[in-house]
Amino acid sequence: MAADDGIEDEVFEDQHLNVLTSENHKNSTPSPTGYRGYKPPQEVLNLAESDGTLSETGQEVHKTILLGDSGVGKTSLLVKFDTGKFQQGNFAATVGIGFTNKVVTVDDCKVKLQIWDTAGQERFRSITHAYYRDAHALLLLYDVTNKTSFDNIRAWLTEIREYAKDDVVIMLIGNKCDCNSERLIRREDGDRLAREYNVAFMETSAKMGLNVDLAFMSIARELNYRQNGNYDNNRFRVQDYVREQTYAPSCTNCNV
Amino acid sequence: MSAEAETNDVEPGAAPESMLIISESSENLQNMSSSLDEIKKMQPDNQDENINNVDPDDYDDISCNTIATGDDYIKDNDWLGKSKHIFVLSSAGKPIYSRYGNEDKFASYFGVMQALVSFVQADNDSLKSIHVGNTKFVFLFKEPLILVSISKTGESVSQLTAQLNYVFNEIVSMLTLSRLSQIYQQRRNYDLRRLLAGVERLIDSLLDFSDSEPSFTLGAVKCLPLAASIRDTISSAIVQSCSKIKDLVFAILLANNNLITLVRMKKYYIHPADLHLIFNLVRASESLKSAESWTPLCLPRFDSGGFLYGHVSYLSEDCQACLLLLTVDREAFFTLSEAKQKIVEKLRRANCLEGINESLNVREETCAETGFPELRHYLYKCKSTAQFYQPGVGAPYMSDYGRLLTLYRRAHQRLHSTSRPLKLLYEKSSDEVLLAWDTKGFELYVVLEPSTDKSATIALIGKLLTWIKKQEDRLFHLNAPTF
Amino acid sequence: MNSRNEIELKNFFIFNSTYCIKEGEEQNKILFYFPPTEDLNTQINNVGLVEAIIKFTGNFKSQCDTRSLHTLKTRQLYYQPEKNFWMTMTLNLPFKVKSKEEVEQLDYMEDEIQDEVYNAVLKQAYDLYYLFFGSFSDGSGSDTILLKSKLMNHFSPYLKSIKLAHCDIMNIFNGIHFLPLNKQNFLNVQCFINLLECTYKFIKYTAVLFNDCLIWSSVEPPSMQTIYQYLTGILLPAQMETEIQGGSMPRNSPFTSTHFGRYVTGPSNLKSAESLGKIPKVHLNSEKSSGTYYMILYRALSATVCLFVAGEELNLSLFRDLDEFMGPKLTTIASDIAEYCAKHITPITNADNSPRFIYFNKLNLACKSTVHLDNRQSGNLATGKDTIKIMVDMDDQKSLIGLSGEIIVKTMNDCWVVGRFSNSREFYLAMQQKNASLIEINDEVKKVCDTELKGIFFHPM
Repeated sequence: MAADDGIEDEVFEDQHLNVLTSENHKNSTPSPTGYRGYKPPQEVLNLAESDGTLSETGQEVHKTILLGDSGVGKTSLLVKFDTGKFQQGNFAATVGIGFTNKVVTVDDCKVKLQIWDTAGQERFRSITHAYYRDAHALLLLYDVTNKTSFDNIRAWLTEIREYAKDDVVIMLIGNKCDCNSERLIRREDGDRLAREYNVAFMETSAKMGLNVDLAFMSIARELNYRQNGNYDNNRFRVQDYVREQTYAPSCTNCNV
Repeated sequence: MSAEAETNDVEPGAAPESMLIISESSENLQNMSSSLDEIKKMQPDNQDENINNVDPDDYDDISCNTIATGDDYIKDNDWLGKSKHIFVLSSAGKPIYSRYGNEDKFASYFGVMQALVSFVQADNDSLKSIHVGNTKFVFLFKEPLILVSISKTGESVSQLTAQLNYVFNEIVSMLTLSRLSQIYQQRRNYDLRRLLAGVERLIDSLLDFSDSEPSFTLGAVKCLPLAASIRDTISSAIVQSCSKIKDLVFAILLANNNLITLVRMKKYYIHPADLHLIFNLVRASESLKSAESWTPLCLPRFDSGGFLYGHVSYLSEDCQACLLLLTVDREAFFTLSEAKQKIVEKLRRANCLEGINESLNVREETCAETGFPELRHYLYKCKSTAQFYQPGVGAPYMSDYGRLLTLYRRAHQRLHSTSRPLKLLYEKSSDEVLLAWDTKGFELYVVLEPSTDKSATIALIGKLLTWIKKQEDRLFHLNAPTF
Repeated sequence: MNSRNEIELKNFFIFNSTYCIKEGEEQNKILFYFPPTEDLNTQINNVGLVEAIIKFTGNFKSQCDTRSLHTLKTRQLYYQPEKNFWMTMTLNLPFKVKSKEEVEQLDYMEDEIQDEVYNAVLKQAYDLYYLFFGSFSDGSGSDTILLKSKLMNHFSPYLKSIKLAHCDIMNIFNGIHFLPLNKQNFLNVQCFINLLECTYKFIKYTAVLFNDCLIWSSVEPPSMQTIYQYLTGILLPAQMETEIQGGSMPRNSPFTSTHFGRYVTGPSNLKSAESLGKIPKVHLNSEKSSGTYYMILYRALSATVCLFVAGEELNLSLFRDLDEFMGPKLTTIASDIAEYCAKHITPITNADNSPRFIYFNKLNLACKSTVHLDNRQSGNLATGKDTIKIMVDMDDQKSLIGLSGEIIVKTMNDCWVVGRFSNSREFYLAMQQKNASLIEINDEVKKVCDTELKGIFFHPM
């Protein structure tokens, strides 16, 4: 038992810091892993390295929050973006807030997104509100097959106004656009609402991977722009960019 | 029989101090302490909690349910024949939860349940249970909710009541008791389902979990078998990485519904019932695997009035043990996230992840494999540490573990009956011999071949206790580390 | 408030919901209500709750039909002996007063009342009513006034006679104590009955008891069970009391040392009698024949003969005839049996700490107990009440352990209780042996089985 052994503690802390700060040290000592002979996947190593470079250059971490009613697919969207996988039919409600770091490259720049995936349930509101005010970007999702989730968007936007910073980047997302037969919210409805509130808009499908990367990448691009001092007329820019880049499903149903 | 008890000076698995509050499992989970204030007072600059403030405008006005007359009952034979129903309703009779089927469809049943409860209440009495043949209808009124279990499982009323208490505590763990009471004080007809969206999955899981496991009945937790050195290393890694963090109350590492270690703030203990809720949260939430999570969580036995905040994450892709760091500081996410990284780093270097994985990958040995061929299965609970051990399940229960659990539950009930408790129960049927033994230090439930005679049974139990004693530092968490 | 140590009857009612057609006439469905002083509104409400519970719980399929309601302070038991007729008995739980931080709390002892016992009590209450009045539905007809008065006549006194606090496993068994006789004495009884039945063809069934033990019966077991409970529980104890008060010598019989016979039901004084007196009619419900019979009880010394006579015009000369036939013979038989018993049967005493047992055979309803010091539900016990409650717990669980099995428990105060089950037989044994081991207990059980239950087969345990 070393519970009260402060000295040993210090020693370990120091060693630990050494590991973190010294690239050489890190590379020369393969860290033992769970399985014998386990090597972290390349992405993990890449991420770790870029992590290092980012922190060295002191680049800002961009806080991005996923919002929207329970069950609209916030976690699915994030997991698809993060891992490229979609877990069919596995509805697992987020507990509180899920936290994922993701480094992406836009315009030859590495941008670190700290993505907060919130639970949609009402009882978690009070804890999620606390994170609004630090957010740089908000992805606000509804489910095109669930009218209530769309109707609640206005309430969400009101809440965002109340708790978030004024210059926060907001993107409205109609998810599950692959479910044409069950679709209740037309694309134009989403688009109109987005224009009304002056926010960017796109439809996505976490299942098909449609516009998933685009959603996060355009956020990253916008945040990167802003960081480099391009604060003017930014809002319209991100909307335009999105409009140019969005892949709209070609089937006619979507536009009914 | 009692001769064997004295041969072991200290019962296997006993430790000078426990991380868990020692409990009688059948005890009502009503006693809730309020440890949070104490912890917060140690730190004067804490922010005011306004999480429990309810804006009355948030709520819908929904008119009171009209109490259904008996003719409105929906006769769904499949539904009515389920072996255990669980219902939660508000004291005004509003449906909140039904284990099977949509609660709105069975609104008339909810109405009658509420009417029965309030009728008996009007007589200054309270409804506890109705018995019809092999079916028990158990009612638990916990202001402001009514919980009902309709069971054909053979469990006793006190066991079913304990399960309902767990359901109530699961709801409290999501909302806190203060908020729950406040909501209904403001709106008697509030539809709680609004706030409990997603919690039905937790309750579903809790019920399946407690129906399929002896730990709830025993009021104990099972530890992941680990060499004592590995477990100690893990504990110290957590202690070292977290010792500087103020307000961290508990650090819990668990895998596959087994406890690996639990580090606690000095003076504070966690109740097994709260730990079961934590196990259930992890068990029921696949989403915890996809990201580091930060969530408010109320531990009703610890403090039903407020939230702890939990940093929840799996150790790594290659080691599926879940670490929960529970604090009273709602701003501590990044501090804890960093601490977690340190812990993982230390565990990796000390080969502990490997040790955990090895234990997770090994199937628990059955009695026969351990050298007790006449012994089919057993449960051993060390009372002073609220931990238990069970071997792997062998024949003839491989495909019917439920039957074994039924035997254990019945024996547990007989030993712990409130009015006629027993020290020893020996039961021989054509299918098996069951022996249940309650001593000062431990409880033992043994199932043997039906042909085993009494002297062989006694000799076997002596040998078994010696074996457990030898294995105790692997099977049990004997230390109670603190920050 | 003082503690309440004993179970109390809160209320008892019989209702039939189909007797209330219109709203506002709910009182029509109440056929009997105790206590009668309860105001009508409360009566209607209490019946309403039972109806709601029965209806609600009836939706969820259950295998058997015993029903009860447990509340913090009471226990309510339901029994439906006939379609739409429900009997309900509510008991107040005993409680203790506990002081917690100077606040007095009532601690209700829920486990003091075992449903199995009081469900049996409720069934026994119905069976006894049936014995004398037949079914509820027979008695009702077009209006309920007649049924209500029958119920009133039967249940009002009966409820006062039940010793609720002393009900136990014996109510569940509802068994019959047989007198273990030697061959000669048994043959004498049988010859006497054969001759009697041959001589008087109108006698359909007979039964012979010695004290409160049955020697012979041609009545089918289910009816005999009820008759036996009635005789040993109600009629004979009262009879013996009058005998003791008036001296054992019946004044109405010819005073000879060979004739001590007299009628218990029937003309009380054959010489001076002008009428037959009160002869009860009983309803026997059996597979072979059900119907009503006069039940004539005739007693000489400690022996009682029950004659069940169908549809015969009874008259005084017939009774005189029967008396002359039975008197001397029964007197001889009774004194022979008394002599035999004095020599061979040791009475149960509370003398020592030896193991106590209860035995019951479901097939012939034979029952024997050395736990109970008499056969009268007097609460006169050789062991603690809790010991018997543990036996009830075991009885309740016996179906779970299959056709044959054994349960042994050791209580917190080191009392060992053993239950053995085999071939519809149940054997319970209790003993106080603090330092005994499981094996010593096993040996002790074997010893008692060998000496007390010779020839009764149990699977080897």
